[in-house]
Amino acid sequence: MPQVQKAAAAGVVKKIILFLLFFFNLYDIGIAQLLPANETQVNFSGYFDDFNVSVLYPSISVTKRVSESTSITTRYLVDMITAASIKSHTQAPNVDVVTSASTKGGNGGDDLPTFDEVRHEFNIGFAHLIGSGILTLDGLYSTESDYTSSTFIGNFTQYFAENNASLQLGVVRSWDKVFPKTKDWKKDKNVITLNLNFSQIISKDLILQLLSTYTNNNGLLSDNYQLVPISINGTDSLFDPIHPDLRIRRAAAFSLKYRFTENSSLQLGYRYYWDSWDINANTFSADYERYLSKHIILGVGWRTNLQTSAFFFKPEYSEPEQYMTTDIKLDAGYSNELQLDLILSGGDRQNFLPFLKDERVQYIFNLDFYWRHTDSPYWFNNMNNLFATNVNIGIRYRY
Amino acid sequence: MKTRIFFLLIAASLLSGCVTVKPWEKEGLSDPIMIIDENPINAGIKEHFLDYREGVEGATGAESGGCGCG
Repeated sequence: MPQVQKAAAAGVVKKIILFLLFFFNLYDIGIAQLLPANETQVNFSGYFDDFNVSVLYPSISVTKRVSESTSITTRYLVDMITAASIKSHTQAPNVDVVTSASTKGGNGGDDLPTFDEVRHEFNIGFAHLIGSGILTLDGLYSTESDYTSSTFIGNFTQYFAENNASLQLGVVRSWDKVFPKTKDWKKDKNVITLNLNFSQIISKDLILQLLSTYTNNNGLLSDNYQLVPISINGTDSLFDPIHPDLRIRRAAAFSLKYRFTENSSLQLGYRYYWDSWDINANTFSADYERYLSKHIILGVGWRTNLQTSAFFFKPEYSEPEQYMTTDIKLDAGYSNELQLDLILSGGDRQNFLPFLKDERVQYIFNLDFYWRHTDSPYWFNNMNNLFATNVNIGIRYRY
Repeated sequence: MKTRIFFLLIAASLLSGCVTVKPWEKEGLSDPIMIIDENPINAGIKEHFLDYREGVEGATGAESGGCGCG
């Protein structure tokens, strides 16, 4: 081979090698970026509704990359119910059970029981890169005075088509123990959930996500603080709810995220849900996000859910039946939710506020207004409508 | 029928995988406003309060009992 041709061939090979190095480097960076980054996040959240329920639930989570391909996340959350209308035989929305979280040992009244409604949830998770995929494993343990739950969550996400598509397989397995304070028994509840999710980058401005879920719930599926009042021969009696001990739940959903200007995006979502208790639901959502400045993102979201009732749900029962419930979540109705989000990211060195100068810090403010209407009134307060507010203030520190 | 429609949608999306966006065209997709559930912990907090209020949510993490709170 002439010397000139050899040099030309070597040049082509060199270019190919450089291209492959460049390509795979980008590819690796792309995958590595999908691994959770080092961060500490603290959230102070609160839920308040007109059923006299107030819940405070602060949480802290820490994520640390322990190697190039592995990160570990730990999280602790505590639920503190400061006032709860758990059981009332009146038609007024009075608080009849004051939790120990608010009374600190008081009995909440002359003949009212004290409920220690503090829940602790611990979570440890691990994410590991395997080839062009990510394996995540999470273990959760939740404990409170009348309920414990141990949960395992495993997901594997495989990226393909030059990282333009991903397929995720997931499994959730829960082993729960239920032991209401008003009962002398302990019963099991078990949950197995399988998830199959698919994401596709359609264009540089459009992402499609398809989600599907199959859940098998079995064991004690009723809330035994919610009693069923039945009038027999003019005498009111209270019965324990009886739910079927098996519930198969399925859901299929899609969402589209579209960037329609340089500074704003819109996410549209739809979810269809159906289960073996004859509940069907359609959920629609829209979320708009916009940069107000380089460091401030405003989000506005809307979510509407419409659902039918479980086959055994009745507004009232005239006699004890095989299955009966007063759980309002199983009634037909609809709900609307307005979400407002504000994210302030640090790094604005010109800002006069010192806490906005550090680029590693992010401040998160969420405010949700929630309204749920059910066809039948709730059994203890005779109300069809629930109005609730959920507030969250979070600080995220990335390093 | 519903399951078939869902898998048809997945198949259609897989076919669209033939249209790939090159790595250097994805800068905009890594922007926080283009990431679905950019903050999963925050997303979990939102889901947490819906779990107890709607019969069609849940089964994604640890559950709890007690009063159910409304």
